[in-house]
Amino acid sequence: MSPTLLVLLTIFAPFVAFGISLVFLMRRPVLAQGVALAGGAVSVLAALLLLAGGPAEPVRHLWFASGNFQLQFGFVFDGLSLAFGAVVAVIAFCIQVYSIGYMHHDPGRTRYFAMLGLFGWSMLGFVYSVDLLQAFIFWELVGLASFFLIGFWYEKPEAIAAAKKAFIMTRVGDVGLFIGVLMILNLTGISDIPALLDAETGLLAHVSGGTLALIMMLLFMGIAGKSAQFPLHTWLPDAMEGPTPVSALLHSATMVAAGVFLFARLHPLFLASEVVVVTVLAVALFTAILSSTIALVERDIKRVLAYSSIGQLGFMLAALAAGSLFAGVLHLILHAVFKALLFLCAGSYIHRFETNDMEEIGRLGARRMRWTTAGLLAGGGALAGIPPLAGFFSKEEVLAAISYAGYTAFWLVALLAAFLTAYYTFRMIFLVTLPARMEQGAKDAAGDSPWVMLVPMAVLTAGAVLGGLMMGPLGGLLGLEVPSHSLISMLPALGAVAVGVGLAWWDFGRARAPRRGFVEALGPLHTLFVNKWYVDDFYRATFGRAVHAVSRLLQKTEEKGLDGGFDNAAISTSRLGGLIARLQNGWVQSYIASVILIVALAGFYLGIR
Amino acid sequence: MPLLTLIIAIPAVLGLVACLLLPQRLVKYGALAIVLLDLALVIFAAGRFDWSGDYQREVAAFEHTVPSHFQMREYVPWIEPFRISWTVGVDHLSMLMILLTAAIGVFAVLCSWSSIKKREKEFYFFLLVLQTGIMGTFLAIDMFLFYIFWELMLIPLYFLIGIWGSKNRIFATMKFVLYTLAGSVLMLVALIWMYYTNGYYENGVFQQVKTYSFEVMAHTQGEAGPLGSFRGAIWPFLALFVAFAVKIPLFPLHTWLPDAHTEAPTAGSVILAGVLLKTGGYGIIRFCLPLFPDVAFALAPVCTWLAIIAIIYGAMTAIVQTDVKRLVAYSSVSHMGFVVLGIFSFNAQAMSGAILTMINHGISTSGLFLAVGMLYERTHTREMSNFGGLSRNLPIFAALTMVMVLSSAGLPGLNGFIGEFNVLLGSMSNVPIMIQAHENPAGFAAAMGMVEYTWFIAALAATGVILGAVYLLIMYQRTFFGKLDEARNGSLRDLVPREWGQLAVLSVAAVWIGLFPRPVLNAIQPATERALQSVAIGTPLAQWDEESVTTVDVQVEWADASGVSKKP
Repeated sequence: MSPTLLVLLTIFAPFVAFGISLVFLMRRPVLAQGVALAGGAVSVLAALLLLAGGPAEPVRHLWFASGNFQLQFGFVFDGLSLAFGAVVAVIAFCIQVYSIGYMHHDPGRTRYFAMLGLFGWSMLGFVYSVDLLQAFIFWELVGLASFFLIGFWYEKPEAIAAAKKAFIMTRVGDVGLFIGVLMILNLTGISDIPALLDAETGLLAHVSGGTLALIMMLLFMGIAGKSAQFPLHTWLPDAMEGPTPVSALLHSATMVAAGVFLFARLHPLFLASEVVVVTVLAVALFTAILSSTIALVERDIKRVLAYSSIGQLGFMLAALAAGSLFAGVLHLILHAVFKALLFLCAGSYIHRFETNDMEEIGRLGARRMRWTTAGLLAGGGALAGIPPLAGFFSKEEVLAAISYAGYTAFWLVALLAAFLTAYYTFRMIFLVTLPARMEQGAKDAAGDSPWVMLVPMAVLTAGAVLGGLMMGPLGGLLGLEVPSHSLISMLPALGAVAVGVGLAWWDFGRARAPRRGFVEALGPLHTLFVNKWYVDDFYRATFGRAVHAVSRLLQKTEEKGLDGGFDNAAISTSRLGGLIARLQNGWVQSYIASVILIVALAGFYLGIR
Repeated sequence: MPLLTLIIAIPAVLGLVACLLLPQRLVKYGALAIVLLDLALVIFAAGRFDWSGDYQREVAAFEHTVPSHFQMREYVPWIEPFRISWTVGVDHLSMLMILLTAAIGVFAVLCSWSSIKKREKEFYFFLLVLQTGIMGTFLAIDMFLFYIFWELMLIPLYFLIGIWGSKNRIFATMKFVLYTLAGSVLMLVALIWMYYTNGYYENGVFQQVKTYSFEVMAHTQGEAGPLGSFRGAIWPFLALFVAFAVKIPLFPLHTWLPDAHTEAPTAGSVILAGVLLKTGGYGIIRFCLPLFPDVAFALAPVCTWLAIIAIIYGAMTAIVQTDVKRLVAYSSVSHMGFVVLGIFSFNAQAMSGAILTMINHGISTSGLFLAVGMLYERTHTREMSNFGGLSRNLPIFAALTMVMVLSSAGLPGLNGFIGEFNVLLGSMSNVPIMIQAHENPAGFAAAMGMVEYTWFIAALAATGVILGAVYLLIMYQRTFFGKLDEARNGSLRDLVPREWGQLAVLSVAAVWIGLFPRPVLNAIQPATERALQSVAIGTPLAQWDEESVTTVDVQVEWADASGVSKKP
């Protein structure tokens, strides 16, 4: 089959499922599930066939023209799209299967599965986009789909607030992105991504220096919003209010991944500006530290994972900014696998114990859910970077990329973040699997989740364990050489991870562990972390309040100032109102008379002015 | 067959007949038949219309013979001493507008179906007269005729709000009438002024060309005549502009709109938002730009700023509204700001975007008002605090309203985005601002805060897009999400086919334009070209950097020379 047909199948199968469910199957959730699964399966199959076919030339089709400007719509089939598209399709399918178990009691299942389809469609559409503006459209649709899914339980006030926050906050970034895209169009007249990347005739041939830096910073604004980087990161932890499989999707292969993917897509353009590279490195690594420190003190298992996502996204962006496309994309893909796994494990616990609190999950006997716990160990190990799990390889590449590019200070910060990651990940693992005491009867209550939930987890577990094997093929797809590292150069990273795991063992794991993190001794710093560095409070106190204050001020101006003069005129003329009311008797003659009267009065009013 | 005259006359004439002959309970069927007939005629006209943009004929207007691009033109001398005639014609711009008008007219009748219970005859009569007024406004070429139709729109709306409106209706109508009359009086003065000062100098002797015909005036107005000079043109321009700005409504002349919208019956709001506001934008594109290009060009920075203020101001004010209808009204102020911004950027993208935004706004805001009307019919309140959790009982309603909300918020993939995108992209190469900043960096433009980089104009306008998401989502969330607090809202019934049919048609239009904007943009293209050709800036500045400065200079000369080539 031709790549075009396959890509259309990949992208639109979920969309067709979405449409069918929403229009016809509102009252038949079981059928809607089936349709969603069928759509997902077709999508996976087509994406894998596309991947097997290897890179091909992009296809394009004219979408619209206005003025002298033409916009195309099409698909790109390079290694990046093919690899990541397949990952998106597979993970989305796994999560759909898992959701059958997780959501089996929910009355709104049709809507849920329809929205998953919308989500898959928009993300896949984004990944294969050939045109910057087309990519932007799908990018926004990804945001819309997550808005619906985060706010899926729309009767829960927190869920709605979180959905709104996610949509608006990412939109703040998107405006930056949009202006950046507009500037590119304005300056070059090109919106075709391969054409923009062309060194001879692309963006770099048209702009340089300050303008280029400005454009790329604006684009990065959108990426920071989507990929939850400081200062636009606070929507992501709140997004935990959605159903857990949604979090799994949101945090792995869709939504947050879109930002990093866009960075990878336009990689050469970002690298062309030194200012942007340093800014991105600084922002990404600062975000990694910030989110990791908050994760140290979180008790909610989903929130720990959410903060870890923010940190890992920072890692990916740092690697890309340091110049290594391979490291960034590898970490993007492997993180997608093990983070989806971790969320599904968390969901498995939450589904069973109906609590998000890690200590309570542990106390209620999480350890007895053997399969889930195995998944948690594999995923957690991968996240922490334990060899030979997937995360070890990608994190190694990331650190090596930063070090290789010569940013020693940034490299040290990244090591610190790696240490913190290992620490909080194992804190989570120890809290859940080695509780101080287990509830009476926990043993009897044991028993794992149903197989529809376990099978997808098993697939992802395999990915988290064996992910390192895909380094070679991915390098081939991207047309890049897989860098090789000596054991010595790996030692610092391994050391950081080992210290992190060891400290977590000391604090939470061993038999007489204090079960309190070392951070609790840090006083003010601990307070800072518990309060999430006060970022949310700051926003509430400044922007939240300012917008409302200004809005109210304008409203006042509207009532008193601008409108006042005319209102007075209208009110005084309304003295006539009583008369007019009496004139409204249905007789056309008196209507006409009143019109004439009003016209005369108004004319008089204007005349004497 | 005088097709255009039929399109104009049918609603009012048949409306009168129907109201006289039909019994009260059948009037609405009659009204529906009439608006459908009008729609059919408009579609028939659209079918006969030459969409290529090459149409040109020599036409007569009293003693003059001039080339004209208006199609299906009908010319009947009327008040000969003052050279007033019944001249109607249609070009791309007005064709699109009358299509919109005829379509919205059908919705206006359908949404009144069950909500209007008193004095149905008069109601539908006024509704149909209003449609006649709007059609005439869009089709008149004789400017005096335009003025008459402009006034004719006012009267039925006055009654629609004043009789069938809600609690505060008398006050709202009064404000509305005062505002718009102030504008129309200015327009009348400007028209008479133009009638007497139009002409040109030949060998130092002033040759007066008295006319109300737009075609003749556009043709004779040369650099040498009083109207061609900046000082002679600025007052009529301002007078016309204010009249149009009131209708758009442009900040700070917008304050009648929230009151009028809030108090109007649903049909009134739908027509007001869907079509009536567009007469303002239409007037600017039709009259202000071609007749006074230099003034329009010189005042573009001011208009740009007013538009930006309107975009942000309207959106910010919408955020704090608690009345759903008022919120949508303020969102109109914001959206119509995009139209003005697009018009005064003087390049093809922005102009196309402005015209498309007018159409889009007609679709999405009419849809929102329809939705609010359906809600009001069920609950008899518009306060957001009285709603919440409605999507449980009204899923169809919630879903269709969502499409309208997203379309209005400019979500990519829906119609609103295409329009706003074009406006924003075009406003980045805002020609007048660039040229004025370039000619006189320390002077007027610089004092207005303009620099060579116009991207921040687009940036400011783009904040309107974020704020749009904020207020619309707040509204949607408070209405449809959350717990079903109010017990009486628990028994609300979902939409009947007549209701969801309306929203579904608008949703399909929104998605269609959003995904396949090519046909619409192609239809708009000639209108855009004509509007820009008249200000002699046909091509947009693709770039603005050091090398393109020379290009800009050339374009300035071209703009100055615009009158020379237009001598009769």
